[in-house]
Amino acid sequence: MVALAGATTRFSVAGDYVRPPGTVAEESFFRRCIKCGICVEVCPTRALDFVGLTLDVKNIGTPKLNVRHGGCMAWRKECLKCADVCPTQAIKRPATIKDVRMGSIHIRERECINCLLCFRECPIEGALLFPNPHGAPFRKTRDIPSALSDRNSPVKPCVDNSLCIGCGLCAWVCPPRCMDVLSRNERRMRA
Amino acid sequence: MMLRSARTLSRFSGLALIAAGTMAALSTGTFCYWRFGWIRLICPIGFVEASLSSGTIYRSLIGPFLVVLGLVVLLGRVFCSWLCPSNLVVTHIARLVKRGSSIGIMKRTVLFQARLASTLPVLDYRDGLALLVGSLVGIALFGYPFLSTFCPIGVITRNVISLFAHFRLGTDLFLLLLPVAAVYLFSWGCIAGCPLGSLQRFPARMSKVLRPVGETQKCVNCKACTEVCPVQLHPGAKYDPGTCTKCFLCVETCPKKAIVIQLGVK
Repeated sequence: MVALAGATTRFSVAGDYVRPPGTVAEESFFRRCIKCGICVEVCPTRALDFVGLTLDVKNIGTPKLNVRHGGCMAWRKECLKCADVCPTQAIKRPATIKDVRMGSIHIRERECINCLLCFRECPIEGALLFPNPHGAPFRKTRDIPSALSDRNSPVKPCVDNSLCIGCGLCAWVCPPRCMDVLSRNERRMRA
Repeated sequence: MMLRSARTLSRFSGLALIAAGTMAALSTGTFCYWRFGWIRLICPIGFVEASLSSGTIYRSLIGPFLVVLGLVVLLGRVFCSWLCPSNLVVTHIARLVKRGSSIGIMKRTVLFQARLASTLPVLDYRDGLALLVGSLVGIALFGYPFLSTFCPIGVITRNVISLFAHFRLGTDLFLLLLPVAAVYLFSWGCIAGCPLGSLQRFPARMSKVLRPVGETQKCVNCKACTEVCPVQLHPGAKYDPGTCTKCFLCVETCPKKAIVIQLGVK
């Protein structure tokens, strides 16, 4: 059994997941999480999902964000229910939600249809921008001229990754599903 | 018969509670961590695992852990036969196998299983204890609570949550094959294979209530009780109370009605 414990730890492939807000660093997360699933149970938007059967044995059964089911409401409604119920403090309630980052958003611009639904969902003002050829980028839907936000317009929304917290609400409502949530590590790699 | 339906009901009610909790997004908790208002119960294995692997003792969990141990001391291993969802699933698979054993391929499987079981050594609770200690040492050394990933109770719990939250089952359901194989092909199962059972054994020894006790003058030594007993005990003789899961199958099956449930301390 000692060998089994070692094997499952050592030969585990390192995966990368978007974790719930307030999650401790990935190196200590799998040590603390007992896969009880209570965070997934309480999540009001059903945004949390389990990591399935993968070669990343260490993380089977741990929670991750799945934007197919929902987005995280922590910034919009100060929810953080997952952090409150976690028995082993693998998810901790942060002092202020403003400093917490779950990940970041990447938009596949070719697939975007400029529906601007993402602007309506984004809880952080200024995280989603619309390029303006004559000055500072637009921050609100009502400022964007309809000529620019036409479906076939070459101008598409863009993300200010210094502000985006990666809650995934925009990706959840995106009709063509052209937005991806990148994990904290992926974000570091791309930066 | 009444006992049997009560047992099935009780087993399903645990799962139903999780399902209801998920549907209503209440934090009622799971088999690994119950949470009703201020009442908290933690899986003892999960607590020990997480403490060993992260090197911290969760002060907020010591209370729930002690309460669980207290419950085991008081009631014994009732969890195993009255709540354990893994036991529930396995019993139903067993019933299916028994029903299908007249079909050719199933017959062969059953025969194969019987042959395999006869060649393999019979494991008892000492092997279970060795497995538990080995696992805990491994967890302390490598810092990964791997029992919580493979635990069939955890797998079933997570899939019930997944089913009622997202209306689909997870791929980790395949991990259930491990305990099913352990029970069927090697017939170890609950006696030696379950770390939770091994851990409960010692506090459960102190449990004095709800013991099945045989009346020796009525007993005809037919051994029907030992045959149905999931842990092969004979209530007529002296037995280890830490092994008994208080399922009372023996009380139901005894042809002479010689086994009674002893409610309290005599």
